[in-house]
Amino acid sequence: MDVIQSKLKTSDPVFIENRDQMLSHVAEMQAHFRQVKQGGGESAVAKHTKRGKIFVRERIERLVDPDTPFLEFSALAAHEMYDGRAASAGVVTGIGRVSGRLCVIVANDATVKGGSYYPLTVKKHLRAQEIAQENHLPCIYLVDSGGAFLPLQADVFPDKEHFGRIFYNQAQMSALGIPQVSVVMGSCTAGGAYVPAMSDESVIVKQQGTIFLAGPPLVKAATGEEVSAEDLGGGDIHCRTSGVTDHLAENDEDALAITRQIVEHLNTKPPTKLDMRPPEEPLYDPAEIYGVIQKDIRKPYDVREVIARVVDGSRFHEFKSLYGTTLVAGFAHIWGYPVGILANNGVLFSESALKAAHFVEMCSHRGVPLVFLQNITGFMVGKAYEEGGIAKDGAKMVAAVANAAVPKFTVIIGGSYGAGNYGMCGRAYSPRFLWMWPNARISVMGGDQAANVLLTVKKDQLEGTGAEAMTPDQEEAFKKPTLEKYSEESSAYYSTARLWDDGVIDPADTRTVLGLGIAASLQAPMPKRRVGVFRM
Amino acid sequence: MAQFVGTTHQDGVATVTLTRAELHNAFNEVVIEELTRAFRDLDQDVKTRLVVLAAAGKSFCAGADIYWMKRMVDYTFEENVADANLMADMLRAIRECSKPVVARVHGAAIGGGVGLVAACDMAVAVRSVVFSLSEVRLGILPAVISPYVLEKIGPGAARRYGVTAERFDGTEAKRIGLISESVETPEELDPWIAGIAKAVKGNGPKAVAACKKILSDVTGVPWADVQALTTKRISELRVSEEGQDGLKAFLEKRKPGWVSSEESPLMFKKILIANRGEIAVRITRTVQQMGVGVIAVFSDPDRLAPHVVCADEAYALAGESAADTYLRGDKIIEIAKQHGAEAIHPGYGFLSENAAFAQACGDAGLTFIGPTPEVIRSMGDKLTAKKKFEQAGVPVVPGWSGAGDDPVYVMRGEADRIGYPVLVKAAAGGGGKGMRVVASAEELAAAIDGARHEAGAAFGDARVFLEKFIIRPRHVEIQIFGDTHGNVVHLFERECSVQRRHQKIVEESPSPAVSDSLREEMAAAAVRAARAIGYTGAGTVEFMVDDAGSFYFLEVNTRLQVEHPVTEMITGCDLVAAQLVVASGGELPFSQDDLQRRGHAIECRIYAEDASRGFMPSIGTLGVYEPPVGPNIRVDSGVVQGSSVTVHYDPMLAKLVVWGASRDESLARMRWALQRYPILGVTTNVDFLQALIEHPSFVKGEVHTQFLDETTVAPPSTDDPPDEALIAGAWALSRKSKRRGAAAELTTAAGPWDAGASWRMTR
Repeated sequence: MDVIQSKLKTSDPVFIENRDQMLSHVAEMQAHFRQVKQGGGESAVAKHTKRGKIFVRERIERLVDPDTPFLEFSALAAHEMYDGRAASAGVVTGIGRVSGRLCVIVANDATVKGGSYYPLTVKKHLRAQEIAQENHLPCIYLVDSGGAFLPLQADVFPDKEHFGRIFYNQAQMSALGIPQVSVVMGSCTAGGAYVPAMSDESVIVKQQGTIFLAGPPLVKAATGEEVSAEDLGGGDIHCRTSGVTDHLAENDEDALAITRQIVEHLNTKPPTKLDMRPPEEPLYDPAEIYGVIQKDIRKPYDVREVIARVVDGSRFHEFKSLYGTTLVAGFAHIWGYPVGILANNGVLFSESALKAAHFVEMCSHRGVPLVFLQNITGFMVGKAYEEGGIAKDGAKMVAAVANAAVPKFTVIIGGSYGAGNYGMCGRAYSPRFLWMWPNARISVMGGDQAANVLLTVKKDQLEGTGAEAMTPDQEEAFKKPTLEKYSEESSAYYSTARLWDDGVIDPADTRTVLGLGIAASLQAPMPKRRVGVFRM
Repeated sequence: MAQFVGTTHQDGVATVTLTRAELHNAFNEVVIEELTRAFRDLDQDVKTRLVVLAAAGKSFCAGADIYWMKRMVDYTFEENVADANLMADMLRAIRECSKPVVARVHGAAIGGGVGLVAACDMAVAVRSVVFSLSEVRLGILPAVISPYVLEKIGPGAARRYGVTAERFDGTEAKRIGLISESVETPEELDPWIAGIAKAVKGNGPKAVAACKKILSDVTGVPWADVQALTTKRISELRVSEEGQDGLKAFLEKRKPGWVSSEESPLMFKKILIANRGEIAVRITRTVQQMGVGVIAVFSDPDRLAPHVVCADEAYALAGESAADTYLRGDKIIEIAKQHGAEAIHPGYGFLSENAAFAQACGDAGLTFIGPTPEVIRSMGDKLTAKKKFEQAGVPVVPGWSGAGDDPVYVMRGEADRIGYPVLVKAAAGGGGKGMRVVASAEELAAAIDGARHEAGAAFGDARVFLEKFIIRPRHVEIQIFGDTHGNVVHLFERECSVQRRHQKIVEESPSPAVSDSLREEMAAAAVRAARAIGYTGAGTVEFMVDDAGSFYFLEVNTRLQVEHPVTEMITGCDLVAAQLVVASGGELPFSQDDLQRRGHAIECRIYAEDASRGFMPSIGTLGVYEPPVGPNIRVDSGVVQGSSVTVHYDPMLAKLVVWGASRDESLARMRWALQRYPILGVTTNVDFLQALIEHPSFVKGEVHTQFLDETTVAPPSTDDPPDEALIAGAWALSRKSKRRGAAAELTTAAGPWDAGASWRMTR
């Protein structure tokens, strides 16, 4: 009865055209992934491994339990930034299962500029810590970094959300009972020295890991003392003499094995429980999502076709299906976890916003996690709607979403424009995770609208000065830079490069990613529900 | 060292062999003394469960040696008594040996020979052998042997044959009770004995000895006393450890202790695979399926290669080139020892036919999965191999080997005898190096000179030999398999005539050119030769077959062949599993009768190479790689999507093997599969293979080893889709298959993190 009946035909030429379009998006995304998986490039990796060190991605492979997933965050961070040299912003982060326990892993990639911290490296590190804190996940830092990237120190060092925040977070999390574990697998100089020092428990690799506030060159300059890196801050010193580290490992592999043992003894508490069902695959192949999404982002489609390819058994218990129909709301299960889903099916009207606010309140009250499938141009505009109080109805939706205490998950599956972004739990509304499909666009408004707004303003100015009106050609020329700028800046890659999201995902993986994310979120206790004043 | 008696041990069976063959194994004081000692030793040997008394040469035993007897004529009475006592001691040593003794009577047993048979507990003889108590003809009598003979054949038969000295055969011998079984041919002797050995080994060792003893001891004991004796013996055994174990095992429906330790050979717990690529992956699959752990080794570029990913443990062989990594036997043995491997599987190539490595494994206490170092060494030398096979009656290419460094005039004479064209070949050769085809006598001297020079430079061994050059031969090989229990079987043939640069690229079985009778002949020759050299494990005997259907031995490959899946497809056997069983000391899991051919199988080797540019290797990263899937299609792949093909190793990516009920069916299936094998990122020979298997000559099965040199295989008609379409198609396919896989996993697991899939967002 609740099963969504798909109306799509996979042999339909439109479906095929859509699918081919999405396939090329996905192929491009995978090409980018392949690129960053090389780290600092073949020769840098060869140099790294020649020293007996294991490449960062392989370190993670060996740290996590065999045959288990790894939910990587923002693999394409710093994409096309810093001259394209900082693959994954030089740090690989994500959630992995270690000795049966979900942990956040933050691993420097020493093949990328020696693992130094670019501004986005800092941002990515802090975001990983934020995820750990919100979801109560132990942190494992695989440290192999030369510290701040000095040419950009002004964007790395001084501000609140800069380098120092890493250690602040470690202290805060430790206090909250979220274990902090460091594995020193390379250099850990100056500020970086605090990562192991601030950890609850730390491991260091013999003849490879080093920790000091000032390295040998600085020491020589300051005091004239000549000392080797190993004697100054090697594993032996710190495990036998200084006590900065607790476990001495023979090599990378040994260090990772010790780390797995450390996690075994964390004595972490049982996670939040939900009313689970046995997981069930959707009736329709998730890969068919490719054909659902219209080639032209502005062309409408029924978002239930997407839901049918994400939820267990394609079962969807819809709420208020006849009211405020431009927003689809309802209950379903993903990987057996109960969820409330909100998905856009057109522009938001007052009714849609009220329906959303009601539904969000209900889920929040019941402790059901929320999933937002965002494809929104914004709220309806016009005199009649303003008179109808669309602003206050939108505000109710935004308020309900902001205060919903349950874990929230947002997937931007199409456009994300204007206030629609707020109502549908954009980045500023602290969803536990926010992912983008490769076709998605995000900006304050669409490029066309922005160009037209600017054109109107310009024309008004010209009219005021009594100058000649613009010809259509002049208008196009005026609009062109705005259109180009919006086109570039609204792409999913532009977004993910700047950490406006937690990663670009393959649409066919949506269900898997959501399942992994929901499972991770349940490691934290369900926060207490609070309600503010709703403007009636 | 004994002069006329040899003893060998294998799996609890000791075989005592009389080796005085030229004198029909007749007794003299040395034979008697040695035989007595051998049986007394075996009486004490706890590992021996059964003794086989066998003999070499034509006869089993002709009784007393004529020359020895001649001397006896001059002996005094006392001396004769002493001498007869030696003989009596010998018979008693056999009779009272605590292990059951079986006589293996393959030839005549005369006089004392009959006594020897009678002293054993059991005997098996070929029906046609001659038995005779011939003593009275020489004016002496069967005295010392008489109690033994009487016990076996009873007074009636003893009186008749003792006084008549008539000859009788196996049938009669069985009727009168001298032997337990008579068989038609000598080949049936060992299987019969093996059955006895199996039965004995299943029984309690102490019980068997006690049983043998009591049957002696009760003989002639007065009825009044016999009860005390028998009840004492049974009580002793009942309370013994062995008796307790046996009775308990029966009640508990388990095997008794002595069986588990002796009957089931210990399979390895963990082995190391000293190879990479598809063969390492393929071996890993079987080994893991057998519940045996797998250690992989890898070079730097192979750090994330499929063979590493699928192994249970993997260790680095730091370095890039093969010489620094997969050829470093010392490093490999070190890793094997350090991490507890019991055996090393060398795969093919690399160290697989390196006798020194096989030896080093043995020295390090590891089992080398393959033949013995001696066999590898002797088969590695083509001259030795050829000689051994010729001795075993296998046809070899007419030729002449000489000493290898003979003067040219000698070789010219031999070349004339063989007939031109002849081939000059390096003794240590391979890969076409040190090889010359000579069309006429004038060219010979220069060719020998050149070949010697090349061979010296390439192999450090300048020896060359002559061989008849067979024009356009087919390459047909027989898969053989031997174990350490003396079993040797063949698994039919493979036709591998399609070769480029002396390397096979397409293999099939059955061969379109081999008739049933030719197959039988070739297989029999291969098995005969394998037996002659004591071959163990998997091996391949390669033959050239000419137009007339004559076949000539080429060489033996002492390893698992690249093309072994063809044989697996038509026989249903897992050759790697059999290798492990044999290497761990077990018996071959299949007998010749078990092996049946079914249908037709063909293999294409998928290479990263450019067929249009002289098969030049092509390197790069596999952007798209989707092997075909379907019924009766097997792909042994050494790469996955994203793998890199480097200059360091052989550019073979995979083997595509298909099976069909007929050759037509399997060719059609191969066409279908080759059309659905998208590989992007490197140039491959897939299109070339497709054109090849559609070539009219190939379809008709008319190929030979020079086929590709002489034939232009037309490139396929090119209305191929553009690469973009292939990418899209491959993606769609890959999505589908991955989903299906995931679906199965999800339903059985509790949550997404425990679903057992190593899912990665970035693939």
